Amino acid sequence: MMLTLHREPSASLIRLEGNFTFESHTAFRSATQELLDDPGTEQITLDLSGLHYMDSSSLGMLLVLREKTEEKGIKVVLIKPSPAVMGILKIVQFGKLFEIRED
Amino acid sequence: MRILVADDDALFHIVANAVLVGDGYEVIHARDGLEALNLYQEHKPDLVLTDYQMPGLNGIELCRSVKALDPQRFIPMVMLTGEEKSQVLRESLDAGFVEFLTKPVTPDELRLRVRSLFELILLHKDLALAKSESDEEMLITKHILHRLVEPGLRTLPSHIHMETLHTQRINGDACAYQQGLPGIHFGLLCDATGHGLAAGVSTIPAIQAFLGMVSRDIPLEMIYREINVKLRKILPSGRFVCLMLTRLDLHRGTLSVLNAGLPDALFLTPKGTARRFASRNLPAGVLDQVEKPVVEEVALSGGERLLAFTDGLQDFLGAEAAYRILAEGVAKVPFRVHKFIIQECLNLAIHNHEQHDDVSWALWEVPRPEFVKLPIQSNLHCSLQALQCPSPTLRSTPFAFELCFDPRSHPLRQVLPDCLRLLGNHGVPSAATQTLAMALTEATTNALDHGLLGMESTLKQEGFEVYDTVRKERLAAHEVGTLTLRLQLHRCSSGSICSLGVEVEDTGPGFDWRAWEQRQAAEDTMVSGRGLVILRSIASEMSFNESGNCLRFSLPCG
Repeated sequence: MMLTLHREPSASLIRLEGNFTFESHTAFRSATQELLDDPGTEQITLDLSGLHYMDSSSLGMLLVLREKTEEKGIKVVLIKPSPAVMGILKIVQFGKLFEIRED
Repeated sequence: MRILVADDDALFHIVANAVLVGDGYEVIHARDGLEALNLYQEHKPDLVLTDYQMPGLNGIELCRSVKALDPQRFIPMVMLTGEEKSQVLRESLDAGFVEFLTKPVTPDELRLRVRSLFELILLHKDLALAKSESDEEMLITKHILHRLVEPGLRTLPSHIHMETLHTQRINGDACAYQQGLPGIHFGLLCDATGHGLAAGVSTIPAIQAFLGMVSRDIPLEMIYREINVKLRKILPSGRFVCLMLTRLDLHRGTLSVLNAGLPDALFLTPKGTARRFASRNLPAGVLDQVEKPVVEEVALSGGERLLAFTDGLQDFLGAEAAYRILAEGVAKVPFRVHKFIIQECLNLAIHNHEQHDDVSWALWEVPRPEFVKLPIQSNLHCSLQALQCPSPTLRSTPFAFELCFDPRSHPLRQVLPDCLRLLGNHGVPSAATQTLAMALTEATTNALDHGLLGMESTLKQEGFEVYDTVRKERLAAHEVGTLTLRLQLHRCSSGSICSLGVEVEDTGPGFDWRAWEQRQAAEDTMVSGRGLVILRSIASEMSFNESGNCLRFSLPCG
């Protein structure tokens, strides 16, 4: 998976491309940790438009991120999932946990 | 570390000895290929350095012989050669050599090459050890899961099929089946996050909670909540279990499905009407408190089929393709053929290594009404049959019987179906059987658990599994006393049966029913004391005797 971090003063964006699986664990954790450590971060947006697939481990990574951001009052937004990825997010009902913007 | 040096050149042996022994290696010397092969078998060196041209066997023949002797062993072989012909290099690579050293070899070159090869050997040994530990863990996890679900799956009726097909790794899939009260079937499919031992272990509490609760006909939403609490307690963040709970009730003619994170289950009627049970709940283990679980229920008329699966099947077959297989077949294809087609597709995919994830799947068929029979088997069967009225003309006379039994030798799950059958033989309509089954189960379970075993309802707050374990321990530990069940059919003036009088007495010290009533007034009743609440809602004239060891109530049967 390719991961690109676009830093903004308060709302940063992480663009994910390819297949988001267990192998992406270290890259995802270090990118998100950088934003979590920044006291100015108010929102983290994950751009999923380039993702083809997410496995259950990557869904778990989103849950861990959610727990950490909740502690710090940071909002997580998932944007532009492809139909395949949106299908996965729907099955696990992640719309109940995250704000998902499909457009 | 041991190195075998095979060369007919005495000078190279001198160099190798000086360099390698000096670096702390043990060196074994062979002057020709055959001697090298013998010494290899005797000493099993970690590394072999061999000349290309030698008497007996040349270097390539030696390499092939060593690989043939120990095909599973990682043994790096280095070719020493003055030849640089591409044909020799190609043959050497083909035989399995990993390195080449061109003569004359300098001491530094030999030292560095051997050192880097030993790093490779150590890495390989670590990997082999990790793989062997991982294989062992896989075997243990598979064994535990198998032991847990196998007793239930062994009792699958012919109209239900459930199985988990594991790939070489374990990916957290499991399925379980258990019959509840007669005519009620429960199923569980689950798929835990991640792979390997962690995923396999995550499913165990879910299966244990399921098996412990369905035998008491606990509603699906409570089973889901219990599994969620258990998993939330023990799993680290980011780990969860997607699951589907299914309950088929042949008395009420309903199918209930709770889908929490699994792909749509497809339900099809013989007339071709389709319905999907999509995931409407979060997977278990995600949140401490789940919102009100969504359970969907559909009314049945017989012949319907339900296909459900974990995402493994979706990966390989595609959900839509699986649905098509089912959709094309319900009216025309017999259940067993349907099962066979899906099974063959899966086996083929796994055999061809197309399948990377586990697959758990379930195919359920609702029997047509004429085939629905209560599965009743028990040792008491014959003696109870003898109590039947001798002649149809006497059937308007009062009918009552008393049954006294030790619940350790005659478990409730055997005794109650016999009672129901007996009542059915004496005119109790089958439509009332489900209510009777539920009422008798709750009343006798209450007498056994609280009257004889002294179980505290508050123990359920620690989890049904804890409750169940303590219950089993107490049942096994010592004599518990006896239960007496008295049943009397009451007839209306027209002669038809209108109600059943029930008395359940135990030989225990008595149930503190006053405390229970106080709790009902004060607390949430969903976990403890639920049985009596249900009983009170379906029975009339419910009362305990003063000492609390005899419960009486009446059930309408008309």
